[in-house]
Amino acid sequence: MTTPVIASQPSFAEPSVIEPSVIDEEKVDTTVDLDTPWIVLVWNDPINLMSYVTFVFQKLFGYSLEKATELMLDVHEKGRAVVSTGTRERAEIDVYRLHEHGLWATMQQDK
Amino acid sequence: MVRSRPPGPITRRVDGAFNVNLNEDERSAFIKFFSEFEDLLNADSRDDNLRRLFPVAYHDNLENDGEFQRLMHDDLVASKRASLEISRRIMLSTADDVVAEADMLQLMTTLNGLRLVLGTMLDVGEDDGDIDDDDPLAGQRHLYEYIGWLLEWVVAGLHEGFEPDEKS
Repeated sequence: MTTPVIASQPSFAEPSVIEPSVIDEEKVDTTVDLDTPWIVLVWNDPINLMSYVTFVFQKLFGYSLEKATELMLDVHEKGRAVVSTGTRERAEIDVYRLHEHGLWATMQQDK
Repeated sequence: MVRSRPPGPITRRVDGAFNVNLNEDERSAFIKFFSEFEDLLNADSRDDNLRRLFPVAYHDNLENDGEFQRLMHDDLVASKRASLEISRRIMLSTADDVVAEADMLQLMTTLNGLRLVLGTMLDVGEDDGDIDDDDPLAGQRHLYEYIGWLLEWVVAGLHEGFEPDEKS
């Protein structure tokens, strides 16, 4: 098993705090973190069975067998795959459910 | 005459439920494994051998991960204990008893958890070959394979008739 090391990934920036009453519209940064979706990654692990991983993707996310198999193969061959995208709260729920099923899932903003 | 295929350890019934076709010795063995698994969880859920059961959630942000673990770790431990209890009840039943799909899903996660712990202890890798019977850990490696064999049957049974809400 390889430890997830994503040296190339940008680190998280502190959330921007902007006082609404003093926003200068010309200076508004349209790429603030709140607008950036979160992605949930599943990492390869030599222990989890391929059939098990495929079934968990189907069960948790409602993916077809074809889509779930494709994601499982990405995990197996490329080391990881993005299995869901959404708000931070949604991503945390998905990560928790994947951890309940023993899959190695992490989350990050999709920068 | 065509001989019917012998049933595997997990049979999906026409009503969607399951039968578990394990003999007494196999059931007793699994009850023992589940008990040992629960002892490990109760002793120290942050034991290094259990690390695959409780992975990091934010791999590049320690602060966020600390908060996630603070909020979720105990729930995750409770969830695994609940699955273990249902799995134990399944093994205490007989081959004639019917197992509901929801309970079979719990057995699936328990078997996978057990395999994750054993695989961690054995330092299982992608390229592990056949088991060397001279290996002092050969018994545990055979057990790891055996749990994987049963898990494959459970997953195959659950897959039968499974209809996901198509998302993509």
